[in-house]
Amino acid sequence: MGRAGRERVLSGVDEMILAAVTEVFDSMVMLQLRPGQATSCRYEKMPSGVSGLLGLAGEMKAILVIHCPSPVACRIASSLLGEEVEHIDADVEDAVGEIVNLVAGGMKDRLLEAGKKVSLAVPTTVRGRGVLVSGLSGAVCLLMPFDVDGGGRFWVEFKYRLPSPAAEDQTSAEAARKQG
Amino acid sequence: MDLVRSIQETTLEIFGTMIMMEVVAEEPLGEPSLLYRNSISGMVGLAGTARGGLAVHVPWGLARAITGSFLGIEVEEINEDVQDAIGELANMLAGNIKSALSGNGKDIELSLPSTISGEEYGIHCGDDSEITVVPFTSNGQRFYVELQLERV
Repeated sequence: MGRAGRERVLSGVDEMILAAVTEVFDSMVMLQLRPGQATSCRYEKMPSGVSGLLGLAGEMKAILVIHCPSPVACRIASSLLGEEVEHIDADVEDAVGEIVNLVAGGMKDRLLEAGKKVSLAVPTTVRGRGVLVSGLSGAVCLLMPFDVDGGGRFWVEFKYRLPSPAAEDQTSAEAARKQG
Repeated sequence: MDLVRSIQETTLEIFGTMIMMEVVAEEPLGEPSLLYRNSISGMVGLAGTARGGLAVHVPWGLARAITGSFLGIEVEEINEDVQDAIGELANMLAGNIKSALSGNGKDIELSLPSTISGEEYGIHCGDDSEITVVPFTSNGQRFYVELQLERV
């Protein structure tokens, strides 16, 4: 399991990613997935395609990125839109943006259950050739591959940083006083 | 509020005080949809009373120069140091701009930065966002600072 340096790790984040992604694909995209093992992010070249990014801010800072190689992006868009999509176009970008938005919403709910209140930025998509991604020093970064039933693989990257223990103690003390 | 002016002032300030490189601001682009070649982009999300994102798009050569100047090291290739430096640049720009967007910036929060680097790529955000892209030149190379804000 990925642990970047001495950064603080929130337990169960990999299960949250798995549950949030599976929920969206089961209920909205209607494609079966086989999740792979989560690893820490590596400096790596992703196949060209469409990536969707969405920032999370609040009691923890994070960013969620979903990397879809072109054929997988088209399959997801086809399934989501209910019509055959063969080439990357604005509809495919919108579909990937919508997926990242839905998955981030699922992560937000699960993080709240884990005691971390966050709010979402807006999704951005990147369409490209020879796109490299990697972790960020000073943050924990998990990369989880998902194989789509019938062929193709996409990756979900979730990078986060917890506040320092001192800052967090102060926050809980403040919360306790407010509740007190 | 004049977003272009805020982006220009913030960028000049950060390059002048943190990166220590000379930068010239140019006029904003009328058509913000661009294809970036052999470039790296740092992106940060904004959440709270204003939702959106800030991105900085830098050609590889200039990204190496910025990283070298910022970290005080020689940078030969696009590596983790460059990704961290460009991510941090996006973070610093977003930190200053959020203060310009909302008084002291307290009700807007930043996500972590992410970087994407590629031979050829385009960035797209939803149609319900307002996009401002301001070009700058440094070392004879052009880079772009982009602010997307959800329309409310």
